[in-house]
Amino acid sequence: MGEEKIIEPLVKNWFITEPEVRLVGTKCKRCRKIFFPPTTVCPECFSQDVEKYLLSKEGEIHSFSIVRVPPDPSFKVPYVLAYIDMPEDVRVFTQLEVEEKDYAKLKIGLKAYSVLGVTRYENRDGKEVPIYSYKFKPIFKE
Amino acid sequence: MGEGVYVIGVGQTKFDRFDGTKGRPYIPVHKLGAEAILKAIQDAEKHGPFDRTKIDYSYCAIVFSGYMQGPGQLALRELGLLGRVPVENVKNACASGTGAVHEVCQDIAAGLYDIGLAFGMEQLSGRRGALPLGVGLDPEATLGMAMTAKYAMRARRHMFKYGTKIEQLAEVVVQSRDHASRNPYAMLRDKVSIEDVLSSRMIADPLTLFQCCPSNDGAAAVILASEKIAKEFENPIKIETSVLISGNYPSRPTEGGIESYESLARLMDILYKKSNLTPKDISFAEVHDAFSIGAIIAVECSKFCPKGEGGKFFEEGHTKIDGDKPINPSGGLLSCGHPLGATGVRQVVEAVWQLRRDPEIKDRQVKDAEIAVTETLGGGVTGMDVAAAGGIILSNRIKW
Repeated sequence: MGEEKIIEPLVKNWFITEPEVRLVGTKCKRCRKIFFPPTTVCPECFSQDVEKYLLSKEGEIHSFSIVRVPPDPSFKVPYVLAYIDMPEDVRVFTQLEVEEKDYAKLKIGLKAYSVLGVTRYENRDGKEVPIYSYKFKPIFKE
Repeated sequence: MGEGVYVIGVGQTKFDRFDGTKGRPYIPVHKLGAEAILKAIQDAEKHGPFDRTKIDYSYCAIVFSGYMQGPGQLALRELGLLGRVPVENVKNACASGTGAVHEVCQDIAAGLYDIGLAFGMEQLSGRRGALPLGVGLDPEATLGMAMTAKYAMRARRHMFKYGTKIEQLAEVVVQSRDHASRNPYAMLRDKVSIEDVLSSRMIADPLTLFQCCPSNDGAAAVILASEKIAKEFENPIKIETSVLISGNYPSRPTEGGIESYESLARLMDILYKKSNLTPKDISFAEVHDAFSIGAIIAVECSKFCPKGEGGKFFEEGHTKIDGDKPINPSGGLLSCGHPLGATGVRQVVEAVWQLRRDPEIKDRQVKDAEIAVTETLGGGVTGMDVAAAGGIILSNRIKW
């Protein structure tokens, strides 16, 4: 209880959790293009003069799929993958934070916002440890 | 392209699970590779004055399997070629095989040598389920990306944007199995119905099991030669052009949706431009149908039909062996199976048999085949639609 959440190391620098969960991209100071995932060289103009750029909280589901067969035993199926189109003109790959009872309500075009959630479970010394990452939570209209 | 490049020998093993279970033999991957190479050597010997020790250079495509410190070398050892033929092992995900052939084409075209061997081999039996993409190595894979899901998301988007029907996706599999029923080298050869496809187990919705290619074992080999050498052979097949590209970064919503592949469209444009050919000129194609939707997007990116009409194109039967644009007469990845490193080479083997009117494929001969294109799309790396895309155009229009 009160134990620290383990964040997936590979994406640790891709988002912040305080004051809220937001993705961190890169903005090129020369050509002003925005990139996600973050990069150290601008892929458009090759400038290395780039800065962190906070993406919007909310985007739109471009497509999604419910995974029934896991690519690795650390993932618990079913889980949902999606691409989110962000207002900054970047497409973000993510797991969706959604309960199984709501799967039927998922559809392309729904808004979704960034949250922190469990993406998989690692076996550490025989104990199942949840690994956290950014995820997106769909907004279902009533 | 500089010097002309020609195929003078091809061979492949059966694609299956050689894992020693269920009455199947156990054959290690390098022995599969050696079998395919030997068949290609014998094929070349049948068609002209061929001496295996005169192979100047070789590339071996292999991705997930085999002995780390030289898988290609182990295969050559079986044939007495070690110490005589250099080999480079090539790894470029599902596009590795096409890449190996492309490397030889580039070398011969550049005049570096006269005879090259490209082979691909893989052993995936024993691994079940979705291919591991590298948890802890690639961010997307670490967040749960599976190839199945990637294509499933493409399929859903295609259905959303163009109204493509799930029955049209299933039709791709129905045709694939029909073609494979005439190919003794394919793994899944029983004909299926649309209902069979749709009622098979859900893998990543909307893709069911039958819409996903099986991971299996196999090898294929192609011997290529310069014009000077090829002239001495009967029935050589010309490489019109070969291209390998890397995937684009990043994907931007304003640049289009995942219902298409930027990389494949770009690849095909380069292939057509470099070869001075048009989609109309292509007699048939071996495309990357790792999943049903893959074939639908491929016929669109190849401009065999307008964007969004790939599903209809299959439904109307243009893509059958006796249609006007046969797709995957071999049965493709969906029915042959997909031993990664071998696939791109196998496609070239099929194309050569077809263009030669080889008795090997008499039950699935594409009528009047003159020009073929093969293409593979390799891998998924964070932020890219594919990691690598490779394509080759071949023809039997030989003018010395």
